[in-house]
Amino acid sequence: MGSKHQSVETLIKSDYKYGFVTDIDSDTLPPGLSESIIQQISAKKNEPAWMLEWRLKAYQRWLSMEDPEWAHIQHPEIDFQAISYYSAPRQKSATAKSLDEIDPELLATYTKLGIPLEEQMVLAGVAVDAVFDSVSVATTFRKELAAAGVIFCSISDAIQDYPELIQKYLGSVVPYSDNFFACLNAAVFTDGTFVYIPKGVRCPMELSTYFRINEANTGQFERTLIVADEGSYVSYLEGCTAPMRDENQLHAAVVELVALKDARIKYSTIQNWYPGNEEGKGGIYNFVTKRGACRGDRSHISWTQVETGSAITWKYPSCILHGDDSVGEFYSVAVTRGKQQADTGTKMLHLGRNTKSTIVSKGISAGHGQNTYRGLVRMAQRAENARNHSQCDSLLIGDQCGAHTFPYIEVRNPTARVEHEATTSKISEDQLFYCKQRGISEEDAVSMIVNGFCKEVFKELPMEFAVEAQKLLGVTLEGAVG
Amino acid sequence: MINHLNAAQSEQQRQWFQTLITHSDSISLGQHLPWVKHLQSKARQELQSLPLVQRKQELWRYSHAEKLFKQPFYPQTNNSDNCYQAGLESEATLSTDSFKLVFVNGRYNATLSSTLVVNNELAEGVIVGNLHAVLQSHANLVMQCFNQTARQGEDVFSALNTALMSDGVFIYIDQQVTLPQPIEVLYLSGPAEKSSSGQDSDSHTQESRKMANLRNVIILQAGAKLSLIERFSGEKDFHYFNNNLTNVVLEQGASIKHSILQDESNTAFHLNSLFLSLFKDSTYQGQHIALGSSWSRTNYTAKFKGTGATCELKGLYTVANQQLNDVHLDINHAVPGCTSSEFFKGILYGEGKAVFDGHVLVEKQSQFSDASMKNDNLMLTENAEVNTKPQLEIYADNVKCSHGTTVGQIDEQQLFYLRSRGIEESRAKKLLCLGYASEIIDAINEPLFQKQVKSILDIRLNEGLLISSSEKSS
Repeated sequence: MGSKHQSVETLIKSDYKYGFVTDIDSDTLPPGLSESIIQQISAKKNEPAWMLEWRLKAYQRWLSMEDPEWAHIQHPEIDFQAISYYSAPRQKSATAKSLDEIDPELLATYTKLGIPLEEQMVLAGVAVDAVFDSVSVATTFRKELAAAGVIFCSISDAIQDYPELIQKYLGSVVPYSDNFFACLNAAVFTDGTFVYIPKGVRCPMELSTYFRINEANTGQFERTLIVADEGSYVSYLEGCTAPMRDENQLHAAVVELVALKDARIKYSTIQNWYPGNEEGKGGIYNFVTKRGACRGDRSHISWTQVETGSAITWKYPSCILHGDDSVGEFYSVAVTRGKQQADTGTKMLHLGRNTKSTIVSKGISAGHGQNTYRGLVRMAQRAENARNHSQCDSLLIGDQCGAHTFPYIEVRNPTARVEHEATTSKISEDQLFYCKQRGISEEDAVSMIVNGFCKEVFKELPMEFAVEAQKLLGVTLEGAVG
Repeated sequence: MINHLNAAQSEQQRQWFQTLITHSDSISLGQHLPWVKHLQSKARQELQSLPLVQRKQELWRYSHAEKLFKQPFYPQTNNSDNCYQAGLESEATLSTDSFKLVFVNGRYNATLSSTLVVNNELAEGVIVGNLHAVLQSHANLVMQCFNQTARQGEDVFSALNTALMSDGVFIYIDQQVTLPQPIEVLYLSGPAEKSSSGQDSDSHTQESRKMANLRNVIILQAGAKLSLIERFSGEKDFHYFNNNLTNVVLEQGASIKHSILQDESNTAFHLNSLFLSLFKDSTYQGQHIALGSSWSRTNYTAKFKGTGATCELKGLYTVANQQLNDVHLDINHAVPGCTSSEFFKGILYGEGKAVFDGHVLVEKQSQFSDASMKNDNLMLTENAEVNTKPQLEIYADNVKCSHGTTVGQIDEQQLFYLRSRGIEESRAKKLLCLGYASEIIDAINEPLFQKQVKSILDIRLNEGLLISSSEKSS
């Protein structure tokens, strides 16, 4: 065991690759939250009056709410007055419409992160909206997408350019009063992504957003809204990183998906925020509300997530299955190591007839990590013949970690069928022995077994992401033999 | 959904508890003993500060208790001598060939109980009796046993039970003693006397809504063995509230077979909390069959305190119209190498609600734990509701833990098979339900009791399914 422990330690101490800070001149509001700060944010973004009104309503509501305590996580109380709610890279001109105008430092950052913002983009064929601290800095491929009728822009632009769409859909899936962090987000969100796919359009390329927190003492509050009109299809990817800092930083995002009749949205996340050091110092608090509404018949929303980063992950990508025959899917791999904590899962709310949902959740805990699956499956009275299958497996690596499963199942229709299964185990000695006997090193064997354990989820990821996810998992867990 | 109690609701609830306490002054259990007095006054104080029952509390998320707090109840006292007689004969003859303790409306009935039990002469090293009597004869032993089991319930109903406990079952079995026959405990409830006019009986039931707080203490010393049957039964439409609390302590290598049948009246409230302490190599085998009550809740709290112990629970619950049936399990693997398995099945044949909430905790040091939990539900009617929540909380890596839950319907093909053989639909459904339930009922190892449970389930399903089928056809 001694040697094994050593290798775990060297790995855990291995650097967080994305932990650098970009030295960039930024325009940051002083820490603190008040009506005046919200007014300033709104003014900076030159927002219409209805938007400010919505923010202030959310703020008033937030003041009356309490920090949720039900999640299986522990953290010191967050001082919401110590956070700066707005930070933007200072731009030379007021608005940077083309990539040339963007600070080269910033572009270098994204290159370092491996996000091809420029020519590589053409080759990669991925349209990217990059959010740096609080604002969206670059959106690529707008023209090409516009030709297909797809709107892909920062949400700030969308508020200016497509107010009627924003007014119709913003907050329609996650109302501002939804929960503590969603409410905070509604009050102070600074940017994010807006996607609209018109009727019958199959989005010609994968859309992607890259989030990065750079400034110290800032929180990132972005808001993503994706609307897929009747019969359309879109696949959307999301990735996140942050510098290594000693203090905890808050990331409280909201993602809303709307799928109308026959539309299909596939949303994939690779979350690799800075997880803090091995003592659990620093790292991102990732408190995110993600929810999709299958509004129309036969609509389909699929969430896939690979959660390897963050000091604390608190997120439950959910599906509200309104339309008859609509489908919701949730595929998740969550890895916790060091002192990381994850409380993640999904909600599948079956309202329409013949609705189906699938939940596959794989939790891996190593070191002192605490991994929790928390999910709700609700079959409403009207949900004739609704069907759900949930599978939650946990893998424990080491004797200091924890794996927990808290499924909630509520059934009000006698024709509904629900199945939930969960297992918890460690990597079996037999499997390890089998691999080692055939000359595979212990580390490789563990990596193979873990990858096999996660296969069901990885196969749901778009190609490029699947490769990245496997690599990420390898880096995170190599050597952590139980 | 309103999660928080408003001020008026909190006030109503505190008041509800307070009313019970103020009406309890006449209770006389062990008042001559200072330690009992102390225990009870402490519990009364705790009642003031313990969190109230509300949906925001995770433990009460799905079990709405508003209905309970709207009903005024009065604690059962020992000085009144009105006695429910109707149906007692039949209840008594139904029971198995065993040593018997009978409680009628929460009070011990010596006439109906086996004489041997009353005289404490069952066997060498065995002390069995109602708590009241044993407190007279073996006060020190009871005190020791209470000390051993103290501070287990940190909730309002456990505190209420301690504050108001009026009697109960006391069983103490010495080392290596095996009781040859099962002990059967009967809890019967029914009106003291039948009034002739409807109006009278209404006002009568209002005043006589009794609440019984029985406290059972069961201690098995090393290597002792016991088979225990508990049966709750009540007369139709009789209003009452049973708030039972049972402590079971199994010392090294002790084993108990514990079957419970809850067949309370259709208007009854029933809350049964069981606290199990399992020491090294002990075995608890329980079956819990819950068929009655309008509002019923069972809490099993099992704690492993020695390695190699086993806790095996099987349960069946049925839900009729307007009925709530709630099972809460809390299994704590605090030491390595223990095995727990829980398997609960539900049949919802009416417009009611079932709640299953199971929690398995495997602590850091508890390697080689084996835990499995399963909950299946058969849902036959519209407007019924199942809320199930099997939870695992695991901090050790070398363990085998799994849980599963299903909600489903009767298989159309099985139904068709029976229908094609000329069996009418409701009867076919009943047969399939009985088959589904047999997996649990067959685990009861007292054949007479098993038969009894089967016949009662048969009657309940007849009532339930025939009503629903006649509604369908009209």
